[in-house]
Amino acid sequence: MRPAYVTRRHTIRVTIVLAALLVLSLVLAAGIGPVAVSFARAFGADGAMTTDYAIIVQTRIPRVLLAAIVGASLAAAGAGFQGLLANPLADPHVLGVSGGAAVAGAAALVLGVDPVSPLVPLAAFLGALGTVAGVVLVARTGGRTTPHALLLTGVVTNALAAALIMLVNAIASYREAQGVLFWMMGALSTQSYGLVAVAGAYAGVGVVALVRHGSALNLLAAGEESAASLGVEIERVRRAVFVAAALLVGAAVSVSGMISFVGLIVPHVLRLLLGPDLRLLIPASFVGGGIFLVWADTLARTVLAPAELPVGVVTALLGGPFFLFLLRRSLRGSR
Amino acid sequence: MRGTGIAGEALACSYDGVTVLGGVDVVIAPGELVGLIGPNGAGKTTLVRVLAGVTRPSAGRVVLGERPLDSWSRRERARIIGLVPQDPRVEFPFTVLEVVLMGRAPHLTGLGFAGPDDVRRARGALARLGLDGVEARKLDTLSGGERQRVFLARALAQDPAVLLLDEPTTHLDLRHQAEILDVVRDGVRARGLAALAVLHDLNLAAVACDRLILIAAGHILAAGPARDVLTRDTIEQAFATTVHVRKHDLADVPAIFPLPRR
Repeated sequence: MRPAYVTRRHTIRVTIVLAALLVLSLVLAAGIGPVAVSFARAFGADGAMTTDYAIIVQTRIPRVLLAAIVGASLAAAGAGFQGLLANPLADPHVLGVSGGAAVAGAAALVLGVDPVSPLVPLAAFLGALGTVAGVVLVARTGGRTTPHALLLTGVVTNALAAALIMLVNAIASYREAQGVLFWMMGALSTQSYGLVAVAGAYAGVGVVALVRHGSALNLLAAGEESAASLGVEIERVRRAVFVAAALLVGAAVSVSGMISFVGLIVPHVLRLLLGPDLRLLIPASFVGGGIFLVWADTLARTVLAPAELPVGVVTALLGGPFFLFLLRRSLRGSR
Repeated sequence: MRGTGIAGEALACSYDGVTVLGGVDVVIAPGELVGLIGPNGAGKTTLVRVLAGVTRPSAGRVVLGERPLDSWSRRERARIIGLVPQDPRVEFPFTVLEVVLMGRAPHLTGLGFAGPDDVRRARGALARLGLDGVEARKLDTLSGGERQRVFLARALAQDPAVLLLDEPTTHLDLRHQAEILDVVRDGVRARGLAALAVLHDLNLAAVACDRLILIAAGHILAAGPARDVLTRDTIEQAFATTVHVRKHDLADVPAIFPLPRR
């Protein structure tokens, strides 16, 4: 599966295979839920009149599309952060960037912004951008971040974000408070196609911008001195990657709140399979993250049916132990 | 860009108010290998970093070819200057070939995928350093000496006119020390590279280099052919220790023996 070096052809091939798997996952997952539905009935003659059609088109499809966009965004942002910081533990949630985006999103909600307007992703994007700049400013020394510095900064940022969201919650009206709680939990729900399209556009722009810097991010893995001597304009690349990753995190958080560990698990597993070249790993994480969250959400929707788990619970239960395992390895390696 | 030299004019550098370089002039011409020697903390690494354009000098300037280094873009510089940093590490499990191909980055456009010509150059560089068997292995599975040669291979794949090496032989055994310097000298002779190597082994520096520059406490103490630079006086002054110096039996250079107090 892993060649001695990554060619354009290999990148395209792997991405197409993963994209096919994503489409298959979307179709399968749209058919799974507390109510049994039939694609044959829904899309057969007079299908548009059936409840099957209504459930699939109005409920299931926007839900699985949203899951794919959120998973894709978080995983690609994770791969980007890991490259930029030359640290495999970096992830939007671990870094506190998701928290920053959620604070800004919740604040926008309480200030009276319509929950389904495109201003919410914009607020979340700006929150993510501010947080990422702050966290990296504090945690980075000489182009690298030690696991300790990264985790401590993330822990503090997350605590701060949680406190701010509580604060926003306290001054919110009862109805708004329900919405704010949603940012804390990390849950997917059925949204309008319009909002799905807005989140998808943010994610698309973000991932394209990130892929364009894949080569520079590869060179940064050998340290800033090395990267600079190979022609990387480090400050420019850093700014561009910040903005791209913040777009991705903003897209994800604005429609789903704080879903943890997707940006950690997906790039890590794909790195084991495909190697660390970010020109391949970023698009592969984008598509692979979509597949991962579609199935995690399907589990969340069905495991306690008819009740629903927030998908953030599923990813945290999977990702928490996984993160501890990675941390253990990383601490051993850095000694 | 063959035949491009590099020069530093009155280079000064200080970190947190401590002067590391105190006004250093160097010229490295095409077709010569210059050895940079001196005690720990003398400013050797800083001088290399300033010449490579990685660190900005606080005073003075670097001239690459006929233009100040600042007037070249990062990418243009990277096509001309190759740097082998001291103790380089790579964070993720890249293969040896992937690391060497990173040297092609300044020559590539778009997403920077390597083409057949880039792979040929990378493999050629690996072969010159005796690493042809390990291209598919992950870098972190290699020995320290092999890793060091991989980074020289990366710099050679970069096809630079100026080659700056910060302690390229430190982790290497005798044979590989000689091999690395042979490869660098081949480049200097055959392609007219301008090369500067920081070396700790004075005897190796004396036989391998065309000229030596001895720096101590951020200043040049002596520069020129080995027989003029490596005298008992200059060495004892620079390194604050006692040595015995005699003539090398096989070459017209001095041979140095440290004299620890017993």
